Amino acid sequence: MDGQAELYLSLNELRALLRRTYEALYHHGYDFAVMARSCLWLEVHGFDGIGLILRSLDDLETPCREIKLSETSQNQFVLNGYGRCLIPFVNAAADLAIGSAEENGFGQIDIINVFGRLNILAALKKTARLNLYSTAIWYDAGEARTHILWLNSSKDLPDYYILDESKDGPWGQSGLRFVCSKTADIISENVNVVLPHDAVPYKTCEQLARAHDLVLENGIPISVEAYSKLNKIADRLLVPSTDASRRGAGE
Amino acid sequence: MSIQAKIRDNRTEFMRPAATVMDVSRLGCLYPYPLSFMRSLLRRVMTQNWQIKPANISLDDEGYGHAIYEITTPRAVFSYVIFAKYLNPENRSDRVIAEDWDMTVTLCEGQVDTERLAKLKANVPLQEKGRVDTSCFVLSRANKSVRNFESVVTSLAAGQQPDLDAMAKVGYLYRTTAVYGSGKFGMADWDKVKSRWPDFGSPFDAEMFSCWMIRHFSLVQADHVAAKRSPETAVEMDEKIKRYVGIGNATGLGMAPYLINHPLLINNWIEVRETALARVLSMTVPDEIKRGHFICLALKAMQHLNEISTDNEDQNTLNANARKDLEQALKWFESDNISAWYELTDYAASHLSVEARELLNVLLLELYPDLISDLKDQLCVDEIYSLQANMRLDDLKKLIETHYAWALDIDYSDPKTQGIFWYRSEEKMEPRLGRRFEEPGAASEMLLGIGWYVCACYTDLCEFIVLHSAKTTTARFVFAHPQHRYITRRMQTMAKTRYGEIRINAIDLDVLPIQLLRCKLSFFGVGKFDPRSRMWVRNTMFQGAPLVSDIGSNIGDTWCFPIRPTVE
Repeated sequence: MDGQAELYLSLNELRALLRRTYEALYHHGYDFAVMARSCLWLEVHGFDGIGLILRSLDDLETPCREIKLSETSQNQFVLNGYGRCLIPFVNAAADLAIGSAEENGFGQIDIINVFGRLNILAALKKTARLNLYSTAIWYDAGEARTHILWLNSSKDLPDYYILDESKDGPWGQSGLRFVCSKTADIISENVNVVLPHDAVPYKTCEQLARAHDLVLENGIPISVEAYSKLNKIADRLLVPSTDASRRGAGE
Repeated sequence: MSIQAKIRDNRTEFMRPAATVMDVSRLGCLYPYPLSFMRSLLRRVMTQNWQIKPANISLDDEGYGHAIYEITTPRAVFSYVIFAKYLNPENRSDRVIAEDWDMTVTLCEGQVDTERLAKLKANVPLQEKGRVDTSCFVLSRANKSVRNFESVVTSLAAGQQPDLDAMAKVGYLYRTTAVYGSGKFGMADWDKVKSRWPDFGSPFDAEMFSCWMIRHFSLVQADHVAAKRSPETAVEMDEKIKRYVGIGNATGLGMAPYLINHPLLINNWIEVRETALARVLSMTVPDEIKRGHFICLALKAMQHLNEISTDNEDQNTLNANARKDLEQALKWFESDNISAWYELTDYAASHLSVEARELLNVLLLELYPDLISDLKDQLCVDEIYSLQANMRLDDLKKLIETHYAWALDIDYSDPKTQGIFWYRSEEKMEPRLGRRFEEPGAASEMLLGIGWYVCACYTDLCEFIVLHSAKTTTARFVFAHPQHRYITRRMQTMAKTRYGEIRINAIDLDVLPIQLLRCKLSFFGVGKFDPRSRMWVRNTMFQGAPLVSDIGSNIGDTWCFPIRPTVE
């Protein structure tokens, strides 16, 4: 989080603010509730979900959203985001792979030409709830680092690895691969191609769980500036007060 | 048929169908019952013998200042902190948009020292404009019923008990105007409250406790001011009258979206209630003792209805008709020696109004608290509305047709059926209703017209099936139509429940939000509804309930349908 943390919000408070923020951005054109939950999930685990929104605002504010989906097989999808932010369509994209995994045991989607890829985290959380195994892998060309999220057992949260090297794959410079399966071995095969056996997680699932417990106990720190920016967006939903509107409250 | 044969083990047979139970006009007739939150809370406070002691009381002669009560439960210590002040009468408003109040309060973990008190004093009186921390879990405020408070104090100061006629008409000294919990304004999240402070781990426990403490302080303050005003002559209020004093409440549109936005939770509350009723109908018989109890309770309920005073003619008619219907049912009951309670409910179904039928159901539930008390532990639910991505579209279509036929039956081509939109006002985000075709703001409407979204989804789904295949997956449909992802996962989730959604077209021109308000308030345990419009209602909480000083005594959970006390 950039700036000094000056305000502590409860999870519910931040969730409500994020819902209104996304609702103000897209009205009901997207599943604003699940978008808010995804961002909240990042924030409570220490991954600066709010910063991700604020840095993506120019893109999020641009209404035209041309993305292209193709199916390479019954269980495999490729989605071209044409350089857009992943936030609005990450959940629906993950649904495709999850649906295939539930139906056929395995599902995969390669999402190319996007940014804000950490938003895929919430999809792994969902696979855990569905007793699926999953992984998300991407290469960040800007930082020259490879990111691997790996839900490799019956845990609620994935382990998060960051490698200081480029790993070639279908994800390219600005894409990611999300795979989920009913069996652990398919996921391991995908992960083992890029992850050294002795790699140490950047964050273990236990650390992520502790981060959640900590914010539940104390609240989520947020800079007044970021809080103000989000509220400014969310406040677009507010309707000016008039005599007529006061009658609409029961006066 | 023998009694044993009639008293069927299969409770499912007695569970009423969703179409009956979830109809909003019926939900708007619900009365409080033994598992209502304030009843459950006070049973626990009394049986666990919670200790509530004044820890730091500093009030001037007018009762202004602060008061801290220390609450010791079996597991922990909490503090209830009250700030009372003079309020300019011009600023006294029940609306959520008010900015000043006679009394502001918070409930927090642990003890409150001078430093913490100063922090709370700087924030709690500001309410929405202040910030508290995660050791607090309720923030609330209340306004005096000025005329009643002054009348009571004048009487007590003169050595007389308050005028019971006036008390019967108003029923309280203070009225709460908002009770916040669940992480608002920096407070602890519900997940923390539930896990860290299980003494307040059932729905709305903390909020109800706060209202009970406001009622307690209102009585303390009245005695205090009377004693200061006339030390020579003042008397304390009689305890019977104190129990008859409740805490007023004004509830507006803000509560209505909660019911629509939490369908899983509401389904759960309804299912618990219906399960309780099914248990009573299937597992009990009207023996002599219970027959006697029933008659006494019915008479008490009739007197209660008779004593309710409201300026709302519709509500007066409802109360009068319910009383008349109950009288008719009682006559029938006394003349016919029924062998099973369902004979009475069957009679009610064919002879009484919906209001009276729901009242009768509550009377039956009141007869068997031990049979249903365990159900209170089932009121909580983790609300997860997960998309079933692999569901085939023909199955999704069938699901909608089966579980949302009530929504598909609404003709949205008729402008009246979408004549209203709900929105948040710039004044404290207060929810309001607008006329869609006359007022601006519909572009910012809240997602509350569930039936409309169901129909829009269904239309696009049918088209998608034609263009693609009925055998393709829900994931593909919602990817192509992301605007339907929310309603789709909601429908998929609610289709698995017994009762599903509240059947309401919340955007109909003639929508009655007050029906939703009364439904929720009945689960709180609130009675004496006094509608002020179709959008907000005054009511009374905790009237007849035990006092803080009753903790440790043998006072029972018999305070439903409070009636005017007899004072010598």
